[in-house]
Amino acid sequence: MIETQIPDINVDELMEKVRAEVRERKKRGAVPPRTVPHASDAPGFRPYSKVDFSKIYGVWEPELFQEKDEGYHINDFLKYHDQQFVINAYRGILTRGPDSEGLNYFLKGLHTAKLTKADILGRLRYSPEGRARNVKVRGLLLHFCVQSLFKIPILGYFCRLMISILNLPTLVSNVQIIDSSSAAQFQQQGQTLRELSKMFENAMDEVIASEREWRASLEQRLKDLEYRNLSRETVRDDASARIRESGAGELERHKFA
Amino acid sequence: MRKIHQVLPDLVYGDAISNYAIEMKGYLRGHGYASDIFASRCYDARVTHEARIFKPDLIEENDAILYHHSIGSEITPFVIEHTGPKCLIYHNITPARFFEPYRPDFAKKLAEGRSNLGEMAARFAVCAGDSAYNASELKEWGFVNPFVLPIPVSPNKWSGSPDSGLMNRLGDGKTNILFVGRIVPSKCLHDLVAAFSEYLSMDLDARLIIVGEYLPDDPYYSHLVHTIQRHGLTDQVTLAGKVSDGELEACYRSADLFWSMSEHEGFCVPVIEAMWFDVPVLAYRSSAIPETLGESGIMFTEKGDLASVAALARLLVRDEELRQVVLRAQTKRRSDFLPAAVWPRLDDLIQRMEEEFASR
Repeated sequence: MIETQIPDINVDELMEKVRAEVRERKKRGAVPPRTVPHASDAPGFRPYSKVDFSKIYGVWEPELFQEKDEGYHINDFLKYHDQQFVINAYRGILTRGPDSEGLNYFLKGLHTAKLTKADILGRLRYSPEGRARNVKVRGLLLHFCVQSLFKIPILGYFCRLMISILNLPTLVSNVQIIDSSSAAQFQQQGQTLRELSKMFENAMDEVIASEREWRASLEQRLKDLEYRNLSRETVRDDASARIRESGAGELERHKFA
Repeated sequence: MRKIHQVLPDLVYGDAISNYAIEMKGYLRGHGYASDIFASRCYDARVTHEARIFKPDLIEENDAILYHHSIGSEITPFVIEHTGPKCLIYHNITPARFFEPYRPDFAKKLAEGRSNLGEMAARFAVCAGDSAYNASELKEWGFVNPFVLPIPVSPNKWSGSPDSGLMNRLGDGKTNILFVGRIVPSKCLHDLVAAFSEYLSMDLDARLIIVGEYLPDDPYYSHLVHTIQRHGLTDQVTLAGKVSDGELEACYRSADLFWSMSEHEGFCVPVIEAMWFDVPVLAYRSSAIPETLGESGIMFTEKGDLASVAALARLLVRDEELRQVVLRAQTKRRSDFLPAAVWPRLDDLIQRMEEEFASR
């Protein structure tokens, strides 16, 4: 890191002294807080946030879960997914947020398909705490019983097969719904992206226009400065001469104040 | 050849190239040549008597021209077309990349000035750089056998009467760290402020004085001011602007260390000036700095570890033994740039110009 051609200096020894100095400083703990360079450090930086993010959030933000005193229908929970589903199940049935252990356990169950949503709702609702809360969830008992039936060895398998066959028309219908809703969602996302892109393009145009304006005014000011330079220097020389003549000898300069 | 004129775009008070031209004029006149400085612009009353405003008809066909080239100006085409003896003296052009984020139009001019060198190579049979670094750049652009003519730095320049008020103020016992140079991105003053912030953790009673011209509306200047504010160093860093010789002398006389983080220097006169005031020099190893420092001064090769760079600066300030070793080396080195050592090379250059002209 250090380089010198001074023959009397041993670079290794000097480097060791530098390290010792750094160590000493660390020991003293006198390191001032370092500031991280920020975008606002950039020259001519002006905060710019004309993009209406509420429009974008409107597309992506899921419908908020509403807690109800009169009880729920199972579908009030089933429309949510993954972590949001578990959180809402806790909030609706146990009227509290999930503890981290419970959240992780149910999420793992969902991710590995060992648990269905109805399983989780049933386990919460029919747990001692859920029974104490006694929150009504219409349609849950049947779903939970059926899901529990599926877990019985051999019999559960045939029950599942039979119910699946009976549910086939509903499944086909659901697939169609998912297909069309996915297509609609993609379309909506595409539209949002186009709008977003347009918004950024407009924003960039404005930035470029204001930068051009700023540069033009800077050039003008530089020209003015160049023209004024001669007269300013003359004034300064006159002032210096006057001060010298008056014997003051010390020109106070505000920049050294 | 009895007339040797110098041509340059601007003659500015306190500017290294302008001082070089004025010194050179004195030497040429002292050696029997009729010599004038022709500049496109010369506004400052302190130097207006040193130059004549350039007009093509003021220079005769057979007059010799020493042309100080920086970025292209309106006088460049005249010098290119001049048929008499001529020599291009190259003081380097700051690479455009430094200015691109701050002044893109100026960066464009710098890039143009640099690319013009290729075209000019065929038109100047004799050329010189003020450092071997600059001469090697000329060679890269196709110039043949460039000469090295360093900038002479004489202690006689200093009147010996530093600004007394400033001397008192800077002599308050605080450590004075000095940098002298224009406030431009290539000098990396933002790095110097960051490194000084580290230095303060080892020496709370220190100040950083940056002496050099700036344009108040320059985006880099704003960036530097913002950097100083962000580090909370408004009380410890002084941007002195362009100062008088007396004030500059006071700064040098009061300085404990000359510290440069600059990444582009074609020669760096302030380094030699610091040597004349017995101020140890610590500089980032870049461009012509190693050549100018020669067997003196201490350089660092990395900016990543600012704590170590600051520790090195601290050692140069407080380790008296190290300081004396450095100052001894600097005392030897500074004499290499005395006019008596440099001007004989100008004689050689003039002789080469004469020979080249005679051989046409």
